[in-house]
Amino acid sequence: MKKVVMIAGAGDAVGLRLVKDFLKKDYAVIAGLLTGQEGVSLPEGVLSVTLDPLSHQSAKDAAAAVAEKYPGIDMIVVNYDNCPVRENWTILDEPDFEAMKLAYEYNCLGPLRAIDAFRPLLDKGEGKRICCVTSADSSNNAARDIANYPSHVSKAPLNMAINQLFNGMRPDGYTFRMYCKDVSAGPAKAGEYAAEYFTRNRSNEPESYKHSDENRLVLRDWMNIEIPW
Amino acid sequence: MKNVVITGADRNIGLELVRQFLQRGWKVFAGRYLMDLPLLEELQREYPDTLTLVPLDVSKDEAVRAAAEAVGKEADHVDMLIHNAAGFGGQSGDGEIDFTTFAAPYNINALGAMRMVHYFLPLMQTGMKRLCFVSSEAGVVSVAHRTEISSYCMSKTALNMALRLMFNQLQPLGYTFRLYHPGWVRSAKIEHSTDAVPTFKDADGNLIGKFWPWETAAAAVPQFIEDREWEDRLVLIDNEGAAWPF
Repeated sequence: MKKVVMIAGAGDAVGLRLVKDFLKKDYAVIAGLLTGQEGVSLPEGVLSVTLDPLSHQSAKDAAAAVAEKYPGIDMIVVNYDNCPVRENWTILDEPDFEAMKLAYEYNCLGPLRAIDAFRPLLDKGEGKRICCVTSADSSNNAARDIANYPSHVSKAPLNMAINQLFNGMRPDGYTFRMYCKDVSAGPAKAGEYAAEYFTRNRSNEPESYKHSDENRLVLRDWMNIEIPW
Repeated sequence: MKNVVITGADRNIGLELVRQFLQRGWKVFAGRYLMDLPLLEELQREYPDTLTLVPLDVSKDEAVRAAAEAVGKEADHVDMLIHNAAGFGGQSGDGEIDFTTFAAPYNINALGAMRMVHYFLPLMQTGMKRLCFVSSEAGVVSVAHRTEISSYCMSKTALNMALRLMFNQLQPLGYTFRLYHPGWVRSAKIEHSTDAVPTFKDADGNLIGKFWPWETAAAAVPQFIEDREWEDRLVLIDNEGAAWPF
């Protein structure tokens, strides 16, 4: 029986790349599309559902639709990013606080809404893996920037929330992946290595045996380099 | 006489910071949010010449802009800004998560700090140029230990990130930063003049927290006032002098 992956935010370039890469790995793929992305062309056999990152109810409705076909899912991947273009204003300019509120709702609370809604299906699956596509913008320790506030300030709190989820759910057998996409590589290549990272077993690898990645939460980029929180 | 603007000054840590800066002879502009609470007015009777109360809701752009204008009419510059105001929201673990409660702490704690800096910076071109923020270990991702998703913790992580970006730009321009973790503080849940004498105990009569507000304020004030030889680093320091990671 195939493993099942739910990809929330499957309609952009990174999401479509994930869909194709998971199909190559012989997963059954569910594509979560945003409202307005219903016309996106998906490979044959992919179940699509619509969900809005800003609505908890829409995530629950999507989960209910998935439950009609699959009794459980093995993995959820959340790929939400409403900051594809760099915002160059600084604190000395005119901050766009409305954009910052929207970015938080979308990039931070959006993934949490999706994960919460699909938790019952994850509980019934065997894989029990939660994955997020984020970016190095989220790292408090690595922030050298003076601008791009909506991206930085919305993604950092997701790191906190996923750490707290990890603390609560790892004892129940869940494993987690936080993946920093290569925003400089362009949309087509930004998610190139994500599926590989999400599906790999990190519990006993030569480079991580001292600090198994499965028993601590790490943020890694497309080159597998660990990014500090 | 040096002056300071303090947000969230109505009670607890904020009120104690106001009191201790007044005791040290500073001119204090106290940001007032709970207009029905008389504690600041009682303090003003003691310090009529050096305490000014300023209506201030840090969650709203226009309110912060108006507060900066009001302070600018009384002072030609501001030496120190202290963003102490904090909002709380929901968390997981209490049944179904209500994400609608997650917006307020982000807006108050993180965006509120940005609004304060943005609108008050024109008044801080001269003087001490010191920007102080009450954050928390609760926002430190690398030592996150809680098992529930907490909107408060998330908002403090967002605050720490916003401060990083501001620090990267403003420190080379001569501004100095203080990022303070007050410890586990006993806080009185008092909001109205009709409330009973503030109690620091919960409904079961338990004393929640480790430090009194005046204790953590007493630890904060020297950190905020004194210069450091290492102003080119942004460090979160707690009420006992220990540095925290991010």
